[in-house]
Amino acid sequence: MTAEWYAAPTSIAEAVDLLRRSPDALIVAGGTDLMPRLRRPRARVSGLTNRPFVSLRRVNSLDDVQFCRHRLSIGSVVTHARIATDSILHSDATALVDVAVGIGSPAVRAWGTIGGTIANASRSMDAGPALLVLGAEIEIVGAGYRRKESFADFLFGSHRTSLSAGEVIETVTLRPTSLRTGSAFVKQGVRRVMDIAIATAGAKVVLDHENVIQQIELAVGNIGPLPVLLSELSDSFVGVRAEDAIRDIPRAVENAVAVNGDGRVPDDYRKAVCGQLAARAFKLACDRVVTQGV
Amino acid sequence: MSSRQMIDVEVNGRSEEFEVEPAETLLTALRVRLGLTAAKQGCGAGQCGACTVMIDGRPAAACLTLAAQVDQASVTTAEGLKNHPLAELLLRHGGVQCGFCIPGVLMALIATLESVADVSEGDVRTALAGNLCRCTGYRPIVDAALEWASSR
Repeated sequence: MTAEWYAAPTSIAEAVDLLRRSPDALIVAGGTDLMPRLRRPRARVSGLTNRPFVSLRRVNSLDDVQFCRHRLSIGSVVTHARIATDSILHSDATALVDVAVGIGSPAVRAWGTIGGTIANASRSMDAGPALLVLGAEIEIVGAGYRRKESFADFLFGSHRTSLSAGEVIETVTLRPTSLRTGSAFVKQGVRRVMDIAIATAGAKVVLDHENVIQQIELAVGNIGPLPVLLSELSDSFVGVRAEDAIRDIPRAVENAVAVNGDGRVPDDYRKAVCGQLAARAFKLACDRVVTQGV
Repeated sequence: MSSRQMIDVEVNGRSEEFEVEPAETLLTALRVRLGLTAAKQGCGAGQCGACTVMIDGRPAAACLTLAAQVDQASVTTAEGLKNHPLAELLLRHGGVQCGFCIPGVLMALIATLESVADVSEGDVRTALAGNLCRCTGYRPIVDAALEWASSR
């Protein structure tokens, strides 16, 4: 593993300026995804070797969780460990907390960041379904401009995003939650920890006092290059009682998803797991409405 | 911009200043430049935990950390633990067989549980999730950690 040089700017402006002058630089935050990728034999083929490093670890302004302009804003270098224990996120972005608690090992959670996860855009990232159901937007800074787009538009495919050379992810923002809202994320792997999931699912639900679904978002991940928000299917459950939905979700999801698997398990099995996980995430989200409700 | 970089890092309580290559890992810097060989090179991908050290009190895979990234930080390796009670308990419980994983196990447990009260077996297993041991089956390691946690 080689690199031309290493720089650790202390502000976003400085980072963007470095990247403008060296568009081939690799941005490193926690390094927990990037370093193993650099060490793989195909790193050379993918053009990842012998490029400069720009580390974001010293950019303190990116290490913050706050409410900002009516959205919940998470700085791109906020670690999974911090997300797992943050009190704002515990009440308003529970699905993302579920993700953070279950990522890798304590050492990976202590340094791996939310920005790094989405910039790396692994097809197996746990964060995908959770960010989709929470309505995530990505705010990006470039030389002399800033832009934002939905997480769904930001992701192009496995290790492919809309992030161009010279751009830095500043924050991930989430839609604020209202009363009687719950969200959850679940995954299923062969091992309980340190494994790439067979499938993942996220759910966010708003229930009325009769437990009838007012709003619902369901998403699944690890079934292909991109996590999928099941908008049409979700809409069909609006007005349905939660306990009826739990019964019908597995079959509905199984029928709705197209699996483009990685061959580790049969596609049909992955589909079935997806359906069950979606129902589990939905159930957990509903339980949280009841326990957190007014 | 010069390629090599001077870093100033506190390792096991001692201030160290030395030059590193831009892509050099903390693991290489510790083992080759400083001769601290407790942290082991295992998988090189953050999966096995053999290279676990503490950076500013947090557990870290030294193989996934660039040496340049610990400039101005404080790093603790198993060498810096001196006579830690957990090390003694691991021996007494038979938690050390080939020993390759032990420096990483020590650092992972201490970094995660040192300041936690009422440690459960679940807490210990969560703390150890990133550390592979192919000898013991983990039981003696978990027992040692639980005794350490309850005797503090």
